[in-house]
Amino acid sequence: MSGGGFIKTLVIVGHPQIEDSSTQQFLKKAADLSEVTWHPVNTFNVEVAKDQALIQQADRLVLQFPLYWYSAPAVLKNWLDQVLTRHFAYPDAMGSLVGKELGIAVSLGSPARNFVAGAGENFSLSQIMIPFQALAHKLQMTYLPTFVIDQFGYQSDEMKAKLLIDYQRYLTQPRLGHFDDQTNWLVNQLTELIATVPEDKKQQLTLILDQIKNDQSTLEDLQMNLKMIQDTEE
Amino acid sequence: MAEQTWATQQLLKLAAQTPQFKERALYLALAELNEEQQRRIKLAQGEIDGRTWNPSRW
Repeated sequence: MSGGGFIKTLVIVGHPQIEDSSTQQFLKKAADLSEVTWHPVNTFNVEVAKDQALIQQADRLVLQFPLYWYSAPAVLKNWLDQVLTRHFAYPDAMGSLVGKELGIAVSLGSPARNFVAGAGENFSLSQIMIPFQALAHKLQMTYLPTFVIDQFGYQSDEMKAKLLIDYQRYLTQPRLGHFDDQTNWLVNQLTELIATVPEDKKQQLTLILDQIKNDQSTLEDLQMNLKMIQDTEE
Repeated sequence: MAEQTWATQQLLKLAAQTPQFKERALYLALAELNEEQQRRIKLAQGEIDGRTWNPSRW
């Protein structure tokens, strides 16, 4: 999975009342991207073969849910138990998930800062998510850093704007945490936007795009020089 | 904060003028990205200066 490629993402949304959740409705609109499949799980009736096929088509799986008593809602746990059969999932059987990525997008009713040793909740989200990390390990998947949405209802317009882009990147940016991939992702979005706007705005946005690309190559050159200097010092 | 580039200024202006949420969010994210680019360029330049500084040429 290189910096410039496209990845296919399956978002498995485990929530007993998805339609009533303003958080999930916001994320659903944000996930309206060509490479993303949005798959709601809100009942205990699971179509195992169909959902296994969905998994096989994806490069990145995102389990998305509100935190219920420090775990996923029962509908999502049931889905995992039904769909990830030993034959389908185990690396020494079909190994259908080997090499895929596993991300967790969790929404919290209390502030994320409470999830740290000594604070209100006393346990970190990395600790609370260990069962999912163990699952990824067992199935030879790459475990991604957890994406946290906390107190959605209290977020300002500007915070929601940042959430929208960060979430979209979490779903579709190839290497999360790589600044160069973040730049390429945003450059692609801007390029797509430019194709849809009137001529005068097109010119303005193209100049902006050029500057961002120039800064990207300036940074690349500097980092290459720096690497050469570091290599000669060793 | 470092001085804003022309691109960052334009993006923030566009964000303030754009009613569509998704488009506005993209402008804000690009403005933040461009600021981070400037920060990283400055850091890299600083590190190059630091590493190539030679005490014998004092």
